[in-house]
Formats: sequence, structure tokens, C-alpha cells
Amino acid sequence: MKNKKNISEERLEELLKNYCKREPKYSFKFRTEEKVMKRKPNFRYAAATLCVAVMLFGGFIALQYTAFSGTDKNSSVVSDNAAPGFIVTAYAAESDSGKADGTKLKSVDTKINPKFPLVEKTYDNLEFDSQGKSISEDNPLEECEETKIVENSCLLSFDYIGLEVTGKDIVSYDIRTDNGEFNYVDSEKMEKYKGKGNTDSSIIDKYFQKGSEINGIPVDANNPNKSIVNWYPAPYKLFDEINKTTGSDFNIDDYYNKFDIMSKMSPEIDERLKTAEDFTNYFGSVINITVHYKDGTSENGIIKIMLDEYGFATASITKA
Amino acid sequence: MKHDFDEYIQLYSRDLTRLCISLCRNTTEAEDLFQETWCKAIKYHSRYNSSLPFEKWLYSICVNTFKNNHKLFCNRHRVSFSSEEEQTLFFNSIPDFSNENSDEYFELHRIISSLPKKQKVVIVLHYFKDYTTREIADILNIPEGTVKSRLYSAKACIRRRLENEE
Repeated sequence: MKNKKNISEERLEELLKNYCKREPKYSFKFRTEEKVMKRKPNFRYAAATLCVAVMLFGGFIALQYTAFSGTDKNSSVVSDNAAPGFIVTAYAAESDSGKADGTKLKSVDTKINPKFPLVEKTYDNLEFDSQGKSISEDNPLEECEETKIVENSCLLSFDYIGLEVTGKDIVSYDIRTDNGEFNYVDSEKMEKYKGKGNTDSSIIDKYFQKGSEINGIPVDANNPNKSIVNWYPAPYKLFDEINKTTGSDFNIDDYYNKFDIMSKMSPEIDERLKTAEDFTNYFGSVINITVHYKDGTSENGIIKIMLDEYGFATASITKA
Repeated sequence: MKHDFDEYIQLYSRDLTRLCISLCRNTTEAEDLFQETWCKAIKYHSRYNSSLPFEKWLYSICVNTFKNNHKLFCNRHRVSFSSEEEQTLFFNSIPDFSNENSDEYFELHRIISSLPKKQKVVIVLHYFKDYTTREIADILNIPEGTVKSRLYSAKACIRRRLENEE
């Protein structure tokens, strides 16, 4: 059990002021040499590169094997009827909109959607055990379990989790959540065409393949940008409950944009968000995904979003 | 080009150093951010509108660079210093840092380091120069209401985590 301390408003202000009003006895010196800007790639990048190389090599070997066994009349046909398998990758992301960033600089500085692999579970058939249970090992690319943490929302925020679905011969996928909302990723292409008389749906009509949909939005599995959906935590459940208790009638915009309302309601919010269970109850979600393949088969997966007592989230991905 | 900027560099390097240290988890990262900010400021100086305060333009480049820099974002939960000396240097820049309150500041540092960047930037700008929410909104080019809600969320988070820590 943790000891709960009391931090007064004044003390918090003082701490933050002191922390941010640094008075170092030194000043950095600006150096123009290009080399000072370059840093050695860290382990993460090295590991990623290595793994990509291994995957490519593995793919090459697999191709060779397939080609070879295709000519061997005695070789058995492996999983003819099996679904090709898919991979769901959950990304932690912060949803600063492009408009919010560096407009005084150029587009290269306004890139949005930083994507950081969160958890990756492979749905390739080879990674299921004899009972058809998925081998739930985290992505070995990740350095440590800390990288599984999504900076979702400290309290109520606009952070989201990007879910990328990739795999061979995917025609479409359906995705449903019991709490939260989906939206497609704002790819650069989408951004590029926005604001020139185009609406989101007209852009989708122009550039996204018709026929397959995620919540009414078409998906083209060949383009990775189009197979990412963003899941946003929804605070409706929390706010509705507070409204009910306090007899208020505030809507979501009131809570997010009206500072006074947010301040006034903060004791109610704090009261309800104390434990991991509280956070998960209000913001967690079970996301069901069904992937449809070209050969008519389909597979299901479940993505569980859970939060800890600080409002961080983790995602677990399993086969349904 | 750098020559034209020498005066600016001389004038604003100290404050930029302070901002970079407040934003980053250690002095190495802070120095990288410092370098990158000046490089961009020099590169894009033609876009600077001299009717606006230079320092705000510079800070907007700094915070946007911080937010967009994947290298600075990766592994952000690791509050690490390469040496004890670096750690001392980092924390000694806090005005009232002492042996008595060091644990409190270590904890605060850990919490602020793990805040979402958008919240962290707002908190740092607010306390770094006592900028008003309006001024922060101008620097970040976002609505003032958004600044207020981020500020509120960040403070609520910091308080909750400080209170819950052992």
C-alpha cells in the first residue's frame, strides 16, 4: 500500500516554478559543425535494423523453400486452408494536430503521428501452438516492457493508440470497440489534400480503394497508411457519471475547453480516478478485429486496452 | 549566415539553455536540442517576421523540435544520466535544490519526464518565463483553451503522482 502525501497548491506551484526556472551556471555553446548534430543510432534502431534484415532474409529463405517444395511431388502441402495470418501493431501516439505545430517552419517540421511500436503479436500461423493458441510473446524488437506504456492520458487527454493491421492477402477488416472511438490515420496524403475544397470523405473516395471498410471508411490493405486506425479513449462515461452526480449538464467541449468547468469538476474527477481499475473501467476497451482474406477466410483478434493507476495504458493482443 | 546570427546567439543562448534543460531529461539531450534549435533558426531565419519578438519565435522552434524529435522521444521513461557529475550539474541548476529536498525534485523530474510532450511543453513554458496562457497559445499556435486544459491536465497528473508516490 502506498503512502498518500498531501501536496498543497502553493508547494506544487513552488516546485514547478523552481524546476522550470532553471538558473544554470553555464550556457551551451552553439557549434556549427554538422557532426555535432549526428548521434550514433541507439540500440533500438540497431535492433530494428537487424530484425528487419533477419525478416527479409527469412522471407527469402521461405520463398526459396516454397519454390522448391512446389516442385517436389512428395512434399506435403502445408496449411492449404489456413488463413494467411495478420499482424496487429499498436502504437503509442500523441495527437498534436499538424496545425498545432511549427507553422512558422516548413512541413518537415510539422510532421505528426510519431509512431512507436507498443506491442506486436504475430498472427502468422507458425506462431500458434498446437492448440491454436497464440504465442503471446512481446515483440523482441522492444528493448524493455516500459516501451509498452502508452502515454495515453494523464487525466483526460487526446492521446490515442494507432492500430496497424498488416498481412498478406488482406482484403479488409472490421473493427469494433466497446468503449472509445475510431478514426483513420491522418496520413500526409490526407493532410496534403485537406483544405482545398476537399472533405475527408471526398479524399477517401479519391484515394482509398472502395469495397472494404473500417467503420464506413474504405481500406486498401496494400497501402500501410490506409490500414491504420486510431483508437481514441472516450471520456463520456466519466463525464456522464459526474454530470449525473452533480446535476450538471456539461458536454464534452465544456469539459475540455472551459477551464473553469474543468477546475470545478476536478475533485469529482480525482475521486473517480484513483486505481488502475478505475482508469480501466472508464477508459479501457476491448477491441475486436476480424480480418478478411482474399480466399474468403477470416480471422479474429482481440486487443485489450488497460490502464494503470497513473493513466498509462498497455495493450494486449490475442487471437479470438 | 551564422555570422548574421551571432548577436542573437549571444543574446538568447542562456535562456535557450534554460528552456532546453527544463524540457529534456538530461544535459546531453538538452545540448542536442539546443544545437538543433539554432540550426533550424539559422536555416529558416528568412521566415522570421521581425515585427514579432525573436525569443518567442526561437522558443516555438525549440518546443516543436523537441516534440517532433523521435530521438528525444524514444525511451523517454528512462531518466538517465551518463554520470553522477552530469546529474549534479542538471539538478544544481534548480534554484532551491538541496540535500533536504533532492528526493522531491528527483521524483518531480521523473514525473515531468514521463508526461506527454504536449503537456510537458505547456508546463515548462508556463513556469519558465511566467508566460500567460495567451502567450503560450501564440508560441504553440494553438487555441488558448487548449493550453488551459493541457496545463490543468498536466498539473493534475503531477499532483496525483507526487501524492501517490511512496
